[in-house]
Amino acid sequence: MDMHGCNSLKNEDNLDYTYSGNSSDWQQCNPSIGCLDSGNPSATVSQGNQIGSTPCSSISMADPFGAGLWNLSTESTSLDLCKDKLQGSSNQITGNSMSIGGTLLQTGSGVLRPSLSHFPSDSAFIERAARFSCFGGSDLGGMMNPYSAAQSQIPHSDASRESSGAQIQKNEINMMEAVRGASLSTTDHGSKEKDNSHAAATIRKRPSEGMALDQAKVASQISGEMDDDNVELEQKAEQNSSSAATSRPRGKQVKDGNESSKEDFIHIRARRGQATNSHSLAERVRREKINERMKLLQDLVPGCSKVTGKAMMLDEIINYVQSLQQQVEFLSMKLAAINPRLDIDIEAVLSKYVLLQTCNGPSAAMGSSSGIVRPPPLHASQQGLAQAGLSGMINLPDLLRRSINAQMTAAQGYKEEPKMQVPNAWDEELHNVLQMAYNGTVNLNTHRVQQ
Amino acid sequence: MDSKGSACSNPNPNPTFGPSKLMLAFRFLRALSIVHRTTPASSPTCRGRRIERAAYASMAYSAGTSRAWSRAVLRRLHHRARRRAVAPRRLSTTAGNRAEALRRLVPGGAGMDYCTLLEETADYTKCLSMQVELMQGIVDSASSNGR
Repeated sequence: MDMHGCNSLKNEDNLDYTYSGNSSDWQQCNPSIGCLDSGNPSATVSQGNQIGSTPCSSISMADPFGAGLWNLSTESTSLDLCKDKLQGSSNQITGNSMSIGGTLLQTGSGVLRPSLSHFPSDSAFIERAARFSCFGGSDLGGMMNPYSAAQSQIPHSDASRESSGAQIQKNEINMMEAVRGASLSTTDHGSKEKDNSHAAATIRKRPSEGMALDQAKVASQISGEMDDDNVELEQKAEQNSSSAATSRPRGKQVKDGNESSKEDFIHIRARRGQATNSHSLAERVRREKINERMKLLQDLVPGCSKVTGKAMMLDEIINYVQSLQQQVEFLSMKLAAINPRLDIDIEAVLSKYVLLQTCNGPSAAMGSSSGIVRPPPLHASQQGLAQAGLSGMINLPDLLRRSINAQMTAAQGYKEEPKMQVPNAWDEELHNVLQMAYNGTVNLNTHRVQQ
Repeated sequence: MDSKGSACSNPNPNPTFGPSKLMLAFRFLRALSIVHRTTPASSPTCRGRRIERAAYASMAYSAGTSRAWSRAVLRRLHHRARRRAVAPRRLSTTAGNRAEALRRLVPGGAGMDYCTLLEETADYTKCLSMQVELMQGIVDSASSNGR
């Protein structure tokens, strides 16, 4: 039986090779739990014929994920257990595999399709995933070690090929990495239970991801349902992946290793068709950051939205900064010439500003301007200010106290000021602050300009 | 300088907006008053330069020390007290490297990576535009009321 199983599996291996294009596509769309766009009709049909005869093989055929598992398990000693459990669940799975086969029939082969839509039935997939998890619950731990051992033995010639999908071994490796990556992600995230819906949702969002990532998601979904027996699995997986990441310079492996290492800082996902080694990932992060900042700058600099292209925008920004600096110089010259009149009412301005900041509206400032003119409310406002604990205005209460004394005498003259203000609240307060600045009692020791 | 130091810790209730306009106005006007009091009226250009330095100083103080450009401005102010201009106005070579030109414009931009440079440029632009607004407001109110 075992021999038969092994033989049949090996035959399936051959079939899997031809079918692997489909399986790889299936794996690619697997995480999205989308429809399988790829399938080799003849292969699936032939495999379908064998479903009844060899449940294990049928499952392996219909489910490349499982196929990967199975091909690896051929080299493992726990094959028997897996097979038994598979046979037990094969009856239920055949139905699903048939549906998968049906969807597989619809697609071409060997090409990653970004348009992979939904899986026939999420529940079916979840069911199967549950079955896989339950048989993998206790055995996957045992299987993982042989997998890693097998992995070292498996040649990694296809490491460079991402979507060729011609090698079932690559799929196996991907699957293993996926499981590892998934377990890593689960351990990293500290939660072993991801709901199917959550995992499905995350998977669905990125239907066009690379194979290993898809498998990682699948595995995460599966591992989400794993029980505590899989803690050891994940730990072993972690160890395996850490050793694997260092020792196995395969593209996907490195990516998974980097994925896990990146999960410490930023959760980055390699996008479809993009290189996935650590340098490109870091560069992509950097590029995204730079684009973000350019967008910020675009909002700041007026007239930048029309300009497209980084170079033009940078030119605009440079011109803008230059013009601002020139304006500062020009206005400072102007201010030097003009000697502003200053009869200040600090509290008025400050309480106005406080109201402004608390009420978050210039209307408050406008409304309160008249009320602030009178000195009596200013006392209250001053105390309010002091109690408000405005950290930046620690010296201002002193100023207020001093200015109040000065203002008591100047209250008459001040009342006329607000009425002459320009409607702009900013200018009004500026005027008040101007007056404040020239108050002789103002404590100006703290701010000195080196001259 | 202790109160200034505490004020430098950014009391801004709305951190996304950068330094609060109030603090900027307060500081700048205070500096303006000092300059007007201390410099003789016979040297308007000298006073103008001092006012410009006061503008940058108040800007940098309002922005706080969390920003690289504000630190650079303050450093420049404290160490190059004898120098002429706070913001060296060198023409940018648009034909050349734009990042270099930006580095020359933004204080403290020389030692940054590009990403940080963009961030600092954004903040610097914000503060600079606020300062210009403030000064323009002062000039307007002074000219409208001071006749």
